[in-house]
Amino acid sequence: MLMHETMIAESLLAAICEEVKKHNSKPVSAKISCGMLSAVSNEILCFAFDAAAKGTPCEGMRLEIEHKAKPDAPLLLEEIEFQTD
Amino acid sequence: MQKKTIREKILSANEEYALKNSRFLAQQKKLCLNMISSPGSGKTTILARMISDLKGKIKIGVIEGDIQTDLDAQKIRATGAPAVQVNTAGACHLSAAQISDALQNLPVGDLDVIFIENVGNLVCPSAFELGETAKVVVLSVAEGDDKPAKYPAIFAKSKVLLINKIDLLKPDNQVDFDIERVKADARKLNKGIEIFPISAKTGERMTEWYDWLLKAIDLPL
Repeated sequence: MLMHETMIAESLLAAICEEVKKHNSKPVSAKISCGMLSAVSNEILCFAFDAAAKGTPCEGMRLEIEHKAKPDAPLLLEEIEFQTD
Repeated sequence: MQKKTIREKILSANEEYALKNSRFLAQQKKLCLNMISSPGSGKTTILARMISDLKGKIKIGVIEGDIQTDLDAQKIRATGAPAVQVNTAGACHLSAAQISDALQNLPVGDLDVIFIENVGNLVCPSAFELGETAKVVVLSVAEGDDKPAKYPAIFAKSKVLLINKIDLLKPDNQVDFDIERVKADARKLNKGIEIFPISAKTGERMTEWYDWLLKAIDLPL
């Protein structure tokens, strides 16, 4: 079964890829935040993201997931870390 | 390394559709309730009973969400109500874009209320807004009284909790289920939640829920 984390992962990947295009350098990690009501499991989201990112510039990226105390905190892409050459 | 602050909403595509749906429903002045529960809690039976009990009073339309088959839509159509089946082909929840399409295929103008029967799942559907007026969570007594404590998100987000299959609590306590515990746990998460213990099978106490529904149709939530 496709869990909701799969859709979140795809949506997150699309958002990061947009930024990668603008930035033109390799993304290393991303920080995201959410509240309890987003029902996000770190393990499943990371697994789904890894799978979705295969073959894209985001392959191998690390995800950092912050769970906010506010239950209805929105699911946000907070920050992306890019490699500098 | 270089850090870039983004602060952008993930799932914004779903939210855009949800917003579109809620605008459409507001414009049409229609109540739309998103029913969420585990598989087998009795959502379809509640809907079928409600449609026949309220025949002549209100017109109900249903959007049925299932991973596969149109069995539920067939059951609803057998009662005479319009139903649209959405198959998610593996996904564990309905998305707002699917509801947007389904609304096009319902005679919305003729209806008083639209029920969305989400895919049977107590976790995933709670994370996806569909543009509905409110969420209704269904819990059947056979599932156990620890569910609000174990699956808080959906109980925190719902306007109504229907506790179904109360006929199983009698006459000789076929299931262990502390209704007061469920009420207390649900209210701890959600002070204003309306709770109706019902049996869609026997029809017991359905009228209390119908009264709430009829009021909600006249007065927007």
